[in-house]
Amino acid sequence: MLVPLTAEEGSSRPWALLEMQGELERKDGGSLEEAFDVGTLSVSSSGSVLLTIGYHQLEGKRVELKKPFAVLDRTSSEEGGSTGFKVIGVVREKILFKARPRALITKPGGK
Amino acid sequence: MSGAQQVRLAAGQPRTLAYANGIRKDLQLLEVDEELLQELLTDGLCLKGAADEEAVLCSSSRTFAVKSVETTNLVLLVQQEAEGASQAQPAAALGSQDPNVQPTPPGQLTGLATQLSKNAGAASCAPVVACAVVGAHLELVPAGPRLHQLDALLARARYGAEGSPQERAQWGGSEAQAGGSEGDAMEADGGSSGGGYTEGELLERVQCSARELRAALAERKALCLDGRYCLVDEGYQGMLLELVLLTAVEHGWPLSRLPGERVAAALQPHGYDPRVTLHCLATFGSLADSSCDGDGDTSGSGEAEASPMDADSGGDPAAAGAAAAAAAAAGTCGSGFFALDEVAVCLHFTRSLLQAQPDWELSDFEEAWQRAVPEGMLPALDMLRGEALLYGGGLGPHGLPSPRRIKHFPLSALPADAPGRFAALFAERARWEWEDLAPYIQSLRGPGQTAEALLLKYARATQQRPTDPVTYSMR
Repeated sequence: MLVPLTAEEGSSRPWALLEMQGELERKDGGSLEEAFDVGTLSVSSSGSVLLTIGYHQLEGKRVELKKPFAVLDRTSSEEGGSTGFKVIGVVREKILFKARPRALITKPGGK
Repeated sequence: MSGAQQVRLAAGQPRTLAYANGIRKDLQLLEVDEELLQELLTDGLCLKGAADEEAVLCSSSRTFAVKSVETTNLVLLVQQEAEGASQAQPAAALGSQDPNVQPTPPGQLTGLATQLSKNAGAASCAPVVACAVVGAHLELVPAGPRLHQLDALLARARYGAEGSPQERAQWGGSEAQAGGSEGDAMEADGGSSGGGYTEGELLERVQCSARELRAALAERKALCLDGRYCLVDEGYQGMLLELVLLTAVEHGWPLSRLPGERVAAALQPHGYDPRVTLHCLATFGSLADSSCDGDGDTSGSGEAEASPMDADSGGDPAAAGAAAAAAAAAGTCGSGFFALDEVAVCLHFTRSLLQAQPDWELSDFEEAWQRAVPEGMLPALDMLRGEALLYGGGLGPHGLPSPRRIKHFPLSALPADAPGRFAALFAERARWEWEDLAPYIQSLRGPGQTAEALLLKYARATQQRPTDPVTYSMR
């Protein structure tokens, strides 16, 4: 069986990738399937990328990938039902949050 | 911040990270190097594999094994943002320059108040939307082409084989003519046979790239008739070779310079498709003069020269023309001269001797072999590497000298995979010397793999005394 990997105009659009340890959970009872705000991304003055989720903060940095990733989307043609993959983007760098989250401490007793 | 960044983040301008509604989990990440990425973006690549095979990825020239690498990390994908998406509205931009919203000084934690204002700042800016989450990516490992399927397919497409009625029917006109007695029915129709496979059909089923397929077909001496590949049955091919040799003697053509189209024309009345005859010449020899290729002048003079000769020898000039046309159609150069390869021809006769009798006393064999090959050819035992083994010699069980013997042990009958090949080799012989073993393992080497590495993995090397040769035994 042949499964073609094809590209089209705009296939080389750059995509971004964020990688962090563990997984996300929602404490508000919502599901991960629906749209929700995870947290806030910002850059520190030292150039690292910060992701603040509630009272926790992840510190990460931009890492250039050794080899790029092609982002593939499964396609199936209407008639034959044969599947294929279409390149919809290329990832060349990722923002890697390597460390565990750090608690953001406010003033003692100020909560 | 530089424009090359996919997530545009500027100091003092935080952005919200959000999950998209119904975040996708079905996207795949494929790790590719730059070269392959370019090919993917321009020509595309192909995954291949039947239901019971591991899939491989093929470019136009290489084959890769595909490995899925899972991660326990959370990996979010963010689609390229529209230009300007990250540009905060003017108010927010101003807000971010508000002296109250200072970038965090190093080593100092942001207070909750700052966080709140940060969040507020982020709210005024388009969020970074993660549209997919992936749990694994695909990695490519360069691999050799997996050709067993090709061999299985080609084994079913044998030109000139004594086949079952269905197979004969499949072969259509071509088979009937090839086997037939006198062939003036040998016309364009010969090509309409349904046997064999087109390159497209083979590429669809064989796990290799187009370039590797072409190399493999050339290596297997596949015959291409009207764009369909098949193998010429060995028996048929051998018979044809012997006829070619007889014809050469009859016409006084030197074996080092056989005129391709005239040989083909001479055999055509006997029912041999000129294209198959030329293929046979190319299989057992090589085109001696390359100047003819596609050169109108040369091929024209070749034909002109051919006609009177054929007329002399009772041949049909029209047949020569037909042969040339057929040769051109088959993509071979009909007016070229072929030099028969001594090793290939001698090996053919070895095979027919060894097939008739697989085990010979060496001296008898050498005598029979020398008688069998065409005059002027000198068979030598080192031609038999990978085809037959010498054994015996020395003293027999009763102290009598036992004669050296030779035995048929063709590489082509051994399994194609490394574990199977070594098992078959050690079943034949417990200990091998490198000289004998080498021809049987050369073809196992994948890209970048050395024979030493294979031996290290599948065999044990021993040496009785420093002066003895190293022998390899089962691991």
